[in-house]
Amino acid sequence: MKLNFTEIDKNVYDHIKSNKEISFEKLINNLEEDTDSVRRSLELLKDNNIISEQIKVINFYEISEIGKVAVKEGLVEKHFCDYLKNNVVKVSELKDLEINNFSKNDCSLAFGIAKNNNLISIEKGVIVVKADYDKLINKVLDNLKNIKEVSDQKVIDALLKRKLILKKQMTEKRYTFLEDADFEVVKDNTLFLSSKLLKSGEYKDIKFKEYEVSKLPKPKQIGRIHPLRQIIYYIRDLYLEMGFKEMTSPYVETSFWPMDSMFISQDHPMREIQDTFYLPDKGTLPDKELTGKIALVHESGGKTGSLGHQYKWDIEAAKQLVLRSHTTAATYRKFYELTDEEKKECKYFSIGKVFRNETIDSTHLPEFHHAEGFVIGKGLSLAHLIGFIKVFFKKLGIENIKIKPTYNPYTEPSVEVFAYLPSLGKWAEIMNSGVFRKESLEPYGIEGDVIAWGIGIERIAMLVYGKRNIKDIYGDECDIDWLRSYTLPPRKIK
Amino acid sequence: MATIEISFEKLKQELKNPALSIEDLESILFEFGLEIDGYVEAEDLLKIEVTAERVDLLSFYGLSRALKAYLDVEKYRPIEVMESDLQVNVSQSVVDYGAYTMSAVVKDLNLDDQKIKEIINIQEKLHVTYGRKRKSIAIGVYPLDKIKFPISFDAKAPKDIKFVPLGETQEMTGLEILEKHPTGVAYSKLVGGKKKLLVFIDSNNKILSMPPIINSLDTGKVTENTKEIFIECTGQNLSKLSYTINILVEMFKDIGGKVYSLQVNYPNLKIVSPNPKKPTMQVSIDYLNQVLGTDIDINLASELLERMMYVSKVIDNNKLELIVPKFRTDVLHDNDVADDLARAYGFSNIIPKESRVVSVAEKLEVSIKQEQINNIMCNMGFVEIMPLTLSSTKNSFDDFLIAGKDYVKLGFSAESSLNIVSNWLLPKLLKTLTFNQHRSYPQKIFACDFVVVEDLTKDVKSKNVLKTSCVIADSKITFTEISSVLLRLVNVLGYELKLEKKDYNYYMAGRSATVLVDDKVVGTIGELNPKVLINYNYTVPVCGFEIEI
Repeated sequence: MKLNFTEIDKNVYDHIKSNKEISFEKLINNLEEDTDSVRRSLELLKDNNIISEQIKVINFYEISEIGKVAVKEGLVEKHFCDYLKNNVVKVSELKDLEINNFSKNDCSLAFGIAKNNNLISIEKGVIVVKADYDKLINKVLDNLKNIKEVSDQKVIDALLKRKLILKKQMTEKRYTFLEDADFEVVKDNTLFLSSKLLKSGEYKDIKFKEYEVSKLPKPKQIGRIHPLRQIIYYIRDLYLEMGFKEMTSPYVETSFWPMDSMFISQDHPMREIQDTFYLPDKGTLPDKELTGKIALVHESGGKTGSLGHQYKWDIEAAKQLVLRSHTTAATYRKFYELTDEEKKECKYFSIGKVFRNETIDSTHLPEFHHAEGFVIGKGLSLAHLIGFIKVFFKKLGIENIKIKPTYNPYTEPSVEVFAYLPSLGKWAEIMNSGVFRKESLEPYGIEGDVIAWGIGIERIAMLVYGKRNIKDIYGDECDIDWLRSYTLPPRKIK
Repeated sequence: MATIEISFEKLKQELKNPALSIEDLESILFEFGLEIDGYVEAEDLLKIEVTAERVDLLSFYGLSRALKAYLDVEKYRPIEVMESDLQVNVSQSVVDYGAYTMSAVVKDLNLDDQKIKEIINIQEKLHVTYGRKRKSIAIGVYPLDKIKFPISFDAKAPKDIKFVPLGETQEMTGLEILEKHPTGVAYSKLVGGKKKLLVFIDSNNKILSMPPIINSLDTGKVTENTKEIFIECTGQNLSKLSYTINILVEMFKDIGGKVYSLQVNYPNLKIVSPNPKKPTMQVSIDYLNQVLGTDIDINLASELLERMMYVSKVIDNNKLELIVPKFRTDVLHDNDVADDLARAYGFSNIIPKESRVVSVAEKLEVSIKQEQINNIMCNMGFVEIMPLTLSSTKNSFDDFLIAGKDYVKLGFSAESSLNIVSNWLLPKLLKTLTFNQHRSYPQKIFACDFVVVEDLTKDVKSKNVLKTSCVIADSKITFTEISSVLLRLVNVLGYELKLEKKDYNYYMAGRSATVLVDDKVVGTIGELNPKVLINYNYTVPVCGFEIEI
């Protein structure tokens, strides 16, 4: 079936065909049509595979501010060599050398450049300038002035290193002709029905062109929420469906909430600077009654019957500000404000960011999201925790799980959950949980028994979307095309 | 988490199970709560990850002792400490310094290369983990025959300390060691700010060591000929020292030595070290079953706890009396016993229970708000971005031509390009655009997320604030387009919008405004200043806004 082209479509088609390949800018300049119409024609040609579009990122180099000064006032090695030509200088005198308008750093810099570029030689400790130095320096200067034409990467790298030039980027769209089109040029009014035609009644006399309706266009660009947000919503729904209330806490915390309250002793390795972001400041603590109880529980176990950590608890260390490294801080802030009724029975959860002082690689970002929930109830036990875990994972679509004893400072017993993931063909650690220790409850007057579990959101997201690099899932470097086009994840993980 | 490297062949011998496969061991360890980190069969090198609380497992002997009991190969029985008349005298200056010591003597040793390696290994592991890189514990092991008792533990001025440290041939002062000796330099910060340094001196006035820094060359190393040794550990916490000395002597017992106690004389206190007493505790089986949600019979529980190295005795139908192994630093409370009981019983044997804690689900107000904004923005064709909250002063402020204020600085950061917590989102969106220059335009993106704004009235000197930012990047953009987006957003949320013309450095002059919602200033809107775009190496026009609503 023939394609229907308007006059403009034909002009664009002819122009690209005769040029074989052309940039968007050139096309606009050459055709005297309005830009939006040309764009529309390009879309039509692209959709019918008559042309292809390439977006190229072009690197180019530009003289920098430092470079401009050098062009105007001469390169530093020029001044240096000029001076050497008229003065005898020993290498040993270099550090005390004074040249007009030169700082001490300039001297050693110029010496280094001159030596690397063979402008000078050292004979018996004396710096001797070579005869053709001016010629060599002028060549550098020429390259600098005409940097746009320079193609030798070595020259470019050398100038870049000296910050005389800057690397810049620009994008350019180019169109390549692919194949001839079978088309006829039709008048606008046989293509598009308009209000004018409807009002005047002219539509009755027009034979409108038929369309190739089975041909699929490019999908529409729409707004989407982020793929990771989808997972956050899923997990949040999961908690809500199980009757949990949501809670939150700030990113910046005093160590008191995410460490001391959790019965993490003040010399515990979890507090080390390699794991936690420390801020330069200190914050303030809640009432003395609570800090007193925390001190007691650390030092001697308080009223719990525990031995405690048997050291002197330092209130100052608890004031240290940190970025929270887990969301359990939210749990403790919630414990602090629970009503007497809730201290016996309640269910809460939170989902939020946590921070770890790590360098960025394919599986680590210095921040990610945690979901965490706790249940207070009389007589809750490890068996109840395992029961909750089973229900939680069943809702997520994961039936095949293994549990392993583990260690957490604030829960005992503690359970690590491994899920078998058929898509990966292996077991992966996916959740950490436990029964709260009495030492981590007593200061808050929690009367019931408490079970809790936490899960990493990015980990689930990577599994759901089949991504291997965490940066694809979260952060500043996500691919907008994927964010526009990702398929909604199934409610159950495969 | 620390990793130990052991011989699998030797472990099989100890466990009296030559047919044990690596897969079998892996599932045994899994039930016990440990993981295999790797196994190199050719070198018979088995790596096992030990969780932080079980410092007693940080040696081959510690691990096989625990597994022998766990697998019922050999019951654990507490060590019998014999008394010696040897003495360590601690001076008042050490008490003033805030330091303590615990020590022991081991005799009848029959050492070989492998055992000596284990002795060195356990010291290193304990130094790094439980000793927090010698900050809380430093250990010294010396051949007994070169020492003349009684030993004194003293604190002296650095210039008054003179001995030949390990790794040197010449005598050095304490000060010289801290400034010049590699080990001294490495650990000097542990004694920073102290006017005096700790030393062990024997009756011949010979310096044995300067803890926690270094030992003397003269006191020598433990060799295959060493039959008797003196062990000391030093630190600020007597209870930690006691655990440490018990972990050490237990290993020396396992390699065939006989353990003797000494008397440590503080000015006001005499202690026998290691303490020969066996700590006991009574637990109720009802409590243990309550924590676990199980119905384990008291006699079975008693048997299972023996597998976790307790000596257990049934007192009545509810009470067990336990002798707790003295090297178990992690048994503080009945819950710890319950955990051990569960490990021996098998976590996977516990029957899951359903609980009936009833509560009504509830979303936070702020979550609802965020969800509403996300919906409206998506409906207007914007794609959500979830940027990192951490940023740099360069990206957030310098490149945006403004001086940063009301933001939170980080201390040390492993990722040097991140030095602050963001207090606004607009720079983050521009950064995402720069990573997507090859993607089709227009690019319409937004973020509705928490940033951290300084607030000195808060206990944490700052607060989380939900901000919304949005940008459009295209070859042609207009202020009208972005302001119509903002207007719709604000109206749909039920507020009234006003824009007041005002110049901001990061927007083009004359093309920006302050945003007022219900007459309250909440943010800014405009076309981005070309200088900002160039600073980000970005060559497509951008307009945008950022508000706190």
